Amino acid sequence: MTGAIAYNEAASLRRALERVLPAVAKPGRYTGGEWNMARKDWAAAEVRLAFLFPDVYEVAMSNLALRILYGLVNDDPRFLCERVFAPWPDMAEKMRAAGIPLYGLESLRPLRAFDVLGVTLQYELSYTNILYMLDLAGIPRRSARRRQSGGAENWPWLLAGGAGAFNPEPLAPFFDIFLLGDGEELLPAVLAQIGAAKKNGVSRAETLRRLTGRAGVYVPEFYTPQTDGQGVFQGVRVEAPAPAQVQKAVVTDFSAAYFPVRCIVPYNEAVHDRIMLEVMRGCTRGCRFCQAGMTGRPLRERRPELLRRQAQEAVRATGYEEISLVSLSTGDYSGVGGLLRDLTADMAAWSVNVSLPSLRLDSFDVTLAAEVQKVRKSGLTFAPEAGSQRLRDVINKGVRDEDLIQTVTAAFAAGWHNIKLYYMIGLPTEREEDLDGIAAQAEAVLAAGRRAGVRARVAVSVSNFVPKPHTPFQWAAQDDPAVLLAKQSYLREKLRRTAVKLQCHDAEMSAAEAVLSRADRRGADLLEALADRGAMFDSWSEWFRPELWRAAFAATGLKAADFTGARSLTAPLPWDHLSAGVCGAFLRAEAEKAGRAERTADCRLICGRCGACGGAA
Amino acid sequence: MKIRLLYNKLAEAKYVAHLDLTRFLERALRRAGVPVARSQGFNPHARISFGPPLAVGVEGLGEYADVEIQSDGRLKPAAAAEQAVRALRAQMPPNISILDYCLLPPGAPALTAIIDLACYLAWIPLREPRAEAELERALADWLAQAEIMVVRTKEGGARPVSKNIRPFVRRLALRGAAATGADGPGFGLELEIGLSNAGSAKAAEVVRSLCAFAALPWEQAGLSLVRTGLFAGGEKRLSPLLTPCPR
Repeated sequence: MTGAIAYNEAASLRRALERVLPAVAKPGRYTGGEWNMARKDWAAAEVRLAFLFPDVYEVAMSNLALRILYGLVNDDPRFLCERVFAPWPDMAEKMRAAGIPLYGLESLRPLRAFDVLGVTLQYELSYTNILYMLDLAGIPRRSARRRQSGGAENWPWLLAGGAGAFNPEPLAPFFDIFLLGDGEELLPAVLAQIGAAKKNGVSRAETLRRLTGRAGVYVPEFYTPQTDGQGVFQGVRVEAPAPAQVQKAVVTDFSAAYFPVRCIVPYNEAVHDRIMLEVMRGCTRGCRFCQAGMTGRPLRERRPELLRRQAQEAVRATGYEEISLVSLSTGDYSGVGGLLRDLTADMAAWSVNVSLPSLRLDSFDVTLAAEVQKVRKSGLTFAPEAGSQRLRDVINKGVRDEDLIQTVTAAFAAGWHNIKLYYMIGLPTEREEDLDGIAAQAEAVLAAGRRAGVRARVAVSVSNFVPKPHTPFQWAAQDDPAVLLAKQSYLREKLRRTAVKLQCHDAEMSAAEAVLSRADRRGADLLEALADRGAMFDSWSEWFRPELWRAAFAATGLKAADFTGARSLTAPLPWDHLSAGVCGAFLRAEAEKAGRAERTADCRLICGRCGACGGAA
Repeated sequence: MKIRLLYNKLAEAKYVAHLDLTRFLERALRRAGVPVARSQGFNPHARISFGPPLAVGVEGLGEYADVEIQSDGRLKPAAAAEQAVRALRAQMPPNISILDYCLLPPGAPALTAIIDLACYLAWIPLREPRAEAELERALADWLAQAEIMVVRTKEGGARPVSKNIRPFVRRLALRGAAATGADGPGFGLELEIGLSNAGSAKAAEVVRSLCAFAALPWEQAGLSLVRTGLFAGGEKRLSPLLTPCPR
């Protein structure tokens, strides 16, 4: 880092920041100091973790994983955890010009001073920001490069976890360890091992050998991808003592699991600026496109009386005015009605609202919704996901047309006017009549409003199907961006003369997401080529630059179609050596049932033998 | 029952925008268990109101907010106010502190209706030192202008507006010029700026205009601004806490 100033002291970094912050947007993103921020003794901590969220402050601070792991690690006297977020491009430019390295918000120390950098992989289009952040920190991107420049021990450990860890192959060359599954027990265990290695002078290589084999620990350097002459993935060669397949970590007693009641209260308004009470983990619905629904299994609920106590404690500790009951499908929580009524009653004296974020049509009860939104009738969101019954059966989304119309009619009668409908296009087996079904359904909702004497406002949001690892659709092809665009214009034309508002996701961004979602290790070359060309904030449409992706493909000789095309049900997949709990036989059977438009019941009713509960499939 | 709070906003808290501070205070009051009165209607909001907003990046030594509290009648107003403020103090971060408070008499006018003067202290870094006499002359010449137009751009693509800021600048005074020092060459400037229904001038705007007018080689990135006080009753006669100002 020639020309850069060596910041040994937080004070000098603070002075440099003083000159930079007045000229950037939302300077509060970069100062720390919020209510409930951890202020730990740097010298006393055995292991210092920087938690990297590869997106901007307001997005990062809305993340539940960050809240949980930050609280959990800082509550442990052995450890310390600081936050590091992606600086917005205006700030990054100023940091480079002033020689300010990326730093932790709590102590203003540069990233290199930490023992461990832990990155959360929430969505694929944030991967370029990981390299962007490593560059800003002056840390070599590849672990091999770090070993060459001064030895691995000279650099912080690089860890990553979260949804993306279930196919981390495009990131494998950059990281030492990936953590699969629930982090509440796994992360402290790994940090303790790293702490012991640091204290006793155990080498990085030996520590990796000791860590591998523990459920949830994936050390990519023990797995070498094998390819044919064309570079096509043929499986991995596993090096001892690593296991042939890494199992994910699962917190079995969810009520006993750590929950952060003293979460940080940002000054800048976060995207989700409220208490997030996690009522359950996992989902039993079995939607075939949904990665979180598959990898989050098995379903675990928190006891209602515990949730009430956590809500009280969280309000006292944060002063937040809203509590959201979060999970993949909160309407499915056993006794959701009773919990809502109890919480609403508990919170009335505090002037705190209770809300439900993700409402599903088939578990939606208008009286329940009226309970939580006594006065505010802001809007209701439903996700039929597909326009025809046949296609909804293909994706295993149990919603019928009449359910939707009945529910919205009840909602109109109860005083709601705004309905938002979520759909996906490009799903496997999709035909023109499925697109017609989207338009017809939206118009039927408008008509139901007219019948109820309500001037309903209907907004349709259309996203593009992205095949995800560890789902029954992991073998499916993604439509080319051109096809997706054609489908979008077809829909736009269909809805042109109606009052329905249509919003479509960017097709090229979805293509990029699909590439990274199912990439093998060659994806790392692509990411590096992107970072070299200045790619960053790819999940933000205003920063996503398709020309950089085209240039990166050209430079690496890779083709998007290598990753977005259909895969054979029998060919090895780059993530086969990683288990998300749901077994391959179940996924294959589900893929075949999808082809026959055959439904699978909610696994609370009939066990689908996916294997996630620990039983054999 | 209404309480008027006097607080400061220092160090990194200067980057907290006005709207964010509103939300922050409401949450601090909830943590403190202070029962804030709420408006009626579909979207009830806490009855909290502030004095003139402080610009992002400017520290405040004496800022004001009014909070209406529901009283259950168990305590006398003075005791209830004292209890509320004590609880609130425990919920404030180190760089936003409650310095003082008063109980407002019924019907007391709002802060924005009475505050008519804001005092600032600026440190303006220069690339090369300037003699004090030269700076004094620059101030006098700038003040001697009948009209000083500045252009204000608004976020969100609204049309920029021109405003004559001269009427609002009541006083400018040099507060020392340094040739060198820890912060390099530069000079201190006291500003007194009036606030009225007709608007006001922003401290940063005045500094920018002055430096451009006198062609001073200043470093905008190093500018530091502190709002030292807010006053009411004309001619700095009254503190917004409704006490006479020491003369």
